[in-house]
Amino acid sequence: MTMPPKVIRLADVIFEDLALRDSVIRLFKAIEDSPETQIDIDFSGVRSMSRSFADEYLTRRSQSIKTIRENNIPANVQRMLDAVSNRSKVKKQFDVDSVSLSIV
Amino acid sequence: MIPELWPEYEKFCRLRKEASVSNLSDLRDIDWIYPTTLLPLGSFLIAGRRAYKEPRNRDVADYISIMLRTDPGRVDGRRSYVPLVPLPSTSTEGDRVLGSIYKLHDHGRLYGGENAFKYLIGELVDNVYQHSGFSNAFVMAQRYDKKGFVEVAIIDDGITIGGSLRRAGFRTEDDVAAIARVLKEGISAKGADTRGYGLRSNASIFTTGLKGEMLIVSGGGAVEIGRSEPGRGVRQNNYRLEEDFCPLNGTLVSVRIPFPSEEIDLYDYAT
Repeated sequence: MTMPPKVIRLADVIFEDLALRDSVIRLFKAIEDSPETQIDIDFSGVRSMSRSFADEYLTRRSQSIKTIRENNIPANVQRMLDAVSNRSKVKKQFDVDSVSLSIV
Repeated sequence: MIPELWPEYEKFCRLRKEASVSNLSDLRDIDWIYPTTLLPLGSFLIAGRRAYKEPRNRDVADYISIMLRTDPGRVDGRRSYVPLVPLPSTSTEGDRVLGSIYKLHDHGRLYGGENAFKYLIGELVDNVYQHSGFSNAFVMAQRYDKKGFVEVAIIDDGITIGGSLRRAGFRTEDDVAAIARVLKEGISAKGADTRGYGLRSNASIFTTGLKGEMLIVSGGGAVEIGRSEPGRGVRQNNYRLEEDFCPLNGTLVSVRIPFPSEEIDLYDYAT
């Protein structure tokens, strides 16, 4: 008999604003420790995702032995995941035009 | 234009120097204080269990008293400030502290949009957890409706940016060079090539996107970035901090974000 997927709603187990890499590490520890082989990550209720969170999430996901499926990803979160996945396409640079040094 | 942050940190240096002689911080002549002064001062007073002489100005005295009471339960979304809030030593509760800051600032809607504001603050706090190895870290914020900016400051007593890079094997000339290198190259002490973008992209968003100011003080160095004039590139002021005056045992990141700011396309900076 096939075990049903484990459903994890991020807004409940972490927070509605996903910011910290350590939160991803704890999330994937729970995923890897669970007996289910298929994991459904439910993004409903998530309002934002930081770049660090997205980077850690994609890295851990690619290393996971579980089958992970995402549901209900808000558009802004999807854009962050896409931005991190395609990070070589740098658009805005940090444009310094004057530098000074003071000894204080 | 948003005023520069460095003079406010220098004010802290003077207050700390006086207190190191008398073990009492004399604030009697203070008639205005920003988080960039008050946050490191509060951290210094708490760490040394030092007292202070209250400002003569009653409003300022009351304000400092309120801001230095460390009680995360007091963060109230109806107020214009986040007092000295300790970051939990483990990041488990860090998301909740972030949530209280977001709530205070109406989820950043006036500061370049919800996504940009949360990205900025979230990355700053995540950096503290990932790199500093802190024992004590605090956040403070104040919104200035009449001045048209919000100031957010985060301080930790960890190993500093230069210390973090040196521990990871990077060679840097000094603490100023270490900060400048992180800002310019986006390198990370954690090594993986997908990391290290946090502070660099934050600097881009604060200065290029939101036209704000950012000050990073870490160990014996400080770097301030911002725009001198509209249409110009970013002004970068580096400070080498002499041993008897301004060095910080840890890292302070302080930012000023003008508001209302138009919503920016965060994803242009996040890649």
